[in-house]
Amino acid sequence: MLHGPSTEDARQRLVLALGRVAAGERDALRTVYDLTSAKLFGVTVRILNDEAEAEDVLQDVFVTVWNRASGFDPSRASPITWLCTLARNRAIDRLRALRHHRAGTDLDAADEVADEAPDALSLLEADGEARRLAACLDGLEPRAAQAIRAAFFGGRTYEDLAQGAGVPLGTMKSVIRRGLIRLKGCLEE
Amino acid sequence: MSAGDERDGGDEALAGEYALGLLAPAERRAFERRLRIDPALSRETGLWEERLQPLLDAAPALSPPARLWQAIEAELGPAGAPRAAARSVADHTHTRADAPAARGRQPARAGRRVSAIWQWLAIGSMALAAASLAGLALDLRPAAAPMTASISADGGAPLFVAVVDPDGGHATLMPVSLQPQDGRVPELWLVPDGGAPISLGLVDPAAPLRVDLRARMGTDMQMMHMPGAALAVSMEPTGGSPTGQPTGPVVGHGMLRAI
Repeated sequence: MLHGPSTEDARQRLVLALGRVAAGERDALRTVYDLTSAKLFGVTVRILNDEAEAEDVLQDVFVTVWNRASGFDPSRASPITWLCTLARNRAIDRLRALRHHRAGTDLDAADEVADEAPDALSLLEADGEARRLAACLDGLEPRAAQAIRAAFFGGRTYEDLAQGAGVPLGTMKSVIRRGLIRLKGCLEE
Repeated sequence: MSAGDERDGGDEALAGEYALGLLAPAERRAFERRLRIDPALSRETGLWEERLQPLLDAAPALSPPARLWQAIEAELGPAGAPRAAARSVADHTHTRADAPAARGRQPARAGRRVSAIWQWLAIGSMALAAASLAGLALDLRPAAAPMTASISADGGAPLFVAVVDPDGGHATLMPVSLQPQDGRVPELWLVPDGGAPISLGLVDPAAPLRVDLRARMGTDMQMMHMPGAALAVSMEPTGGSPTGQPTGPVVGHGMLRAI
């Protein structure tokens, strides 16, 4: 995990490993895997709620890391964010595909927008950045915070969110856009 | 756009919506096209990803089963096998969009336009980035598929189209619209991240340039693969740079990346 005595050291190791992956060194990919696979598997499991699907997505993610490490620019992004974004995007794609497939085959499937709010315990254990983000989300109107989390973890579309909240599409878009601007302002304080 | 669908929050909110995955497919594709040419938008999108990242701390880490690594290795084939061509932008890791190179030294040439460009390449400041960067992708690995890319000037007009023959270790640049300048010839440079530019030869504005990369770079070919390497074209006196480093204005540049 990347929360050791020196997070900066861990970051550097990951940056260097990704550089070597870009240069074609297979053992460097193993290094990236050793450093990050638990975090990333956690992400894909959280989103997909299905370990088999999560494993499959994670395989895809590491194959993409192999093919696309040269696209990572360490001056612009933190390596773990780059990897997590990749993992999250793939997991959301898979989640939506599964949802679409299930909707087609199971007429009784209730596909409600889940409440993705964190529980109190995980907030206590969270580090400063996570607590700060949670506090800023709490400062938004509840619909906005819920929608942002539902989009982030549940891959919910504007249509899903509007329907789930019982509001017109245009209203949900405004709510979220205003919420995002307010969130940004809060985080930049 | 339907009535009442005004874009409150502008690009800041739009970048956040993209990072969340809220944009509909057509909107997302349009956004990704903009990301390729709009460094401010690209930067804001990256910032949104960082802002939202701590949400993932709520997902407990979990070690995947050992078979996962085996499956990855099996899919990639034996070490040393050629890499597959990467996918299109549709997998929306936006960081694939062009970005200026990272930190590095600046050649000293105060007061010349060329030094401003190298400075930009060296410090990676988004504020200085030209909006029209088009990446020149060179893939030099054997048996990889040929590909094309364009080097563009500020303002977006393509100057060259490049075709790469990875098997032969050659790149061919075909001039598209380079304006001839009296007494000046274009010279092509590889700018490694943090390193001094390396000349890849003079470009004849009227004819394709065939660059023998192995001959020019020898064992340094790996520099092409390093993150942050870029290609640039400067206008030099007839016969090329007298100093071995760029002396004239840079008319086009682009990030190097393997596709």
